[in-house]
Amino acid sequence: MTFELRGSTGRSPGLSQNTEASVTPGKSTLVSQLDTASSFAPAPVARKEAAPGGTRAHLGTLAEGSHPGVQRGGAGKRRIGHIAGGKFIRDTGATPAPAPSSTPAATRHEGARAFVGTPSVADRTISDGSIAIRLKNETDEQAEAVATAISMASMVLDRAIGRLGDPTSPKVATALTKNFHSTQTAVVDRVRSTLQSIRSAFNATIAIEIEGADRNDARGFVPYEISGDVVIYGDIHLCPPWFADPDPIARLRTIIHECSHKFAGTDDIAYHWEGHYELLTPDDAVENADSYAWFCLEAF
Amino acid sequence: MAEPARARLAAFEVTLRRATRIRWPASGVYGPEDRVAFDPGITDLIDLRYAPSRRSLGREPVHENLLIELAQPLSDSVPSLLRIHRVLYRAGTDRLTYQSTQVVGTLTLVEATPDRYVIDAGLSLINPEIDLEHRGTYPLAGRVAVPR
Repeated sequence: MTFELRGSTGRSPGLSQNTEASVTPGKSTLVSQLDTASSFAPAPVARKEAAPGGTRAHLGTLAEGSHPGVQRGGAGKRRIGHIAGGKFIRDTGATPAPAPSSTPAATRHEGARAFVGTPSVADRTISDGSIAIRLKNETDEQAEAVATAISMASMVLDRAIGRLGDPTSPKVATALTKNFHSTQTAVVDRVRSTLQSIRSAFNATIAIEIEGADRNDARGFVPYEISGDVVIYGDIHLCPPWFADPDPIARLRTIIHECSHKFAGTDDIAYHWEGHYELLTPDDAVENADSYAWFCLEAF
Repeated sequence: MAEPARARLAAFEVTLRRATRIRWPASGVYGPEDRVAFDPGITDLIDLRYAPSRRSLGREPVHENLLIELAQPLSDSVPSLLRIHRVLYRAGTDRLTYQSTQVVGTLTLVEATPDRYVIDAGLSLINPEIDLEHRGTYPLAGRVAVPR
């Protein structure tokens, strides 16, 4: 069925309405091409009741390697590289996120959390049967917006990976040139590999934490921590500007951008809007989160 | 101008892009989703950029980019006030939050050596076209060294 970008029904005050009319010309084509065969629904088994006061504190001691200043949890943190000489080095053979097991989503998730004790948070897992999203601090409206964006991002990633099968096609070559400044095989292979790593993560549970009104400085972010020579990524956090953005394409772009941080270890070397973006070398561009986000859209 | 503002621009990475100009959109204004494009030009473009890595912050870093199109090439200039043709300042994360193309203040070439130009800037960005965080007028000043 056609992917539905829902209107104002059930929207919280202050949230922008996700109507197709808000999509800028040219983007409506992309939106209209995004189809989904299923819709997200809460998985009853995963529903947890909020603790009194809504505290997010963890009971018990912190797990080894954990840091009290970084919110833990989500679909797990993976080591994908290390720091040497002040530079991030991706480990060879870094594996994509594990495939979902047959256990219920909440159980899988709890088993992957990097804390001990009982979490006192309100959260739930929603699923459309193929993608599971673990949410924290969400309202129903926010859960709907997140599910829509992640489902769209999944389809855009699939399309981009598929398009890279023919990197010489004008559309793909142009998108590669604009965002990675190269159409060489090595670059194409690296882009494909990174996008596949991101897409593989969608086969497991994606953990999203919703930020409150005090985080207005970004659409989203992924906390980042260095423990010894190990790089640890936290959950994907979505902030009020992400929910307030009326453009569904911008929202899915942010999802791909943040997923590339968490699941592929990319950096923010230059954002798309910067003059420096076009000056990135191919080596820098394949490490740059926005390059992947914009490539996926332009290759669609 | 307040001292913190004076110190600010000195932290920017500076590049001289010779014979380059900004390609301005037909509307005259870049939109928040538009990528800045460049064309060959008859003068120079000073590209000032503050772009910390997220790996040093652990969060989404705010980047800033100030592009100054000069009215004449730096190589033709002597230490004195420089004339600005146009400016474009943009700042934000993956979401552009501030943009201005209007500036007041001065740009002074204070030294020209075989290796570099030293420029003293005392600028204030005004009338932003995009100002999602309500910064309003935004001072940017400092002494910068522009490699030749």
